[in-house]
Amino acid sequence: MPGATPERIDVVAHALADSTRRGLLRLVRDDEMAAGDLAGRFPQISRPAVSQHLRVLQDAGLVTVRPDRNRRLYRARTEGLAEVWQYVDDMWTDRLRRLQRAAERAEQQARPRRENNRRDR
Amino acid sequence: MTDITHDRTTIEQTVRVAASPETLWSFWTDPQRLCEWWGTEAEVVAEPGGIFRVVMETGPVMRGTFVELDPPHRLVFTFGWEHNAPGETLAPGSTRVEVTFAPEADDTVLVLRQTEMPKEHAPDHEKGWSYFVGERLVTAASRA
Repeated sequence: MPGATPERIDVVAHALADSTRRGLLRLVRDDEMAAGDLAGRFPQISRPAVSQHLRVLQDAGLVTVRPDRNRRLYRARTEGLAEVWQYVDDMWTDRLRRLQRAAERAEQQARPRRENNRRDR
Repeated sequence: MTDITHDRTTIEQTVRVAASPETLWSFWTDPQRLCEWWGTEAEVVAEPGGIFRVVMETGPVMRGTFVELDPPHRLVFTFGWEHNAPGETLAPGSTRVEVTFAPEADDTVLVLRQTEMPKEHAPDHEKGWSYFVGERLVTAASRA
């Protein structure tokens, strides 16, 4: 989130502090959904209130919205997710290289013993 | 070979090792051997449902649960970070790692695949995801 300020962090934290907004975020995680359909999933909450919640999520950078004819389609922003996976991917590259070295060392040390075992059989 | 997209996340890495599948297997299930390549401390209960925990020297703690063990061919466990550190947020139970060991001549080809946990198998998944995305964004925001 480039150009973020402490105020911006507060905005994100505030957006996530509400269970309805977290529920909305989950719904648009895998599928793009129209504002009207999202509102339909929260019958206990008024439509304008749902719109307001979506606005808060959008301002916090947690969802993106695109117009489609007369509808507004929402989707979770998953850039943060991609970064985390990049970190895990790099970790595995580094660790598997270490695993390779350690296992090959162990194999070399164990080989004579294994051959003896084979002869014993 | 890595495929990271915004919608679907899968990590796949392959390494060819001059060792037997049995030797390689022991480096995943023997705590002492795990500390030769992954972390400084490891806790292993090598049975389905058993704990798999690795403390890395840089601080993050991987916490998982064994799902499948078929020695020395295939190992499946859940994967997440116990603590929320910058760049490392991934809730325990939110992803799944599958490691296969295939003999090839005198070597073993290890293939590691990490994927997001299918929702139906992860009761904590939704909680984990919203927690993780939220924390992640807050972390990104605080660093920017």
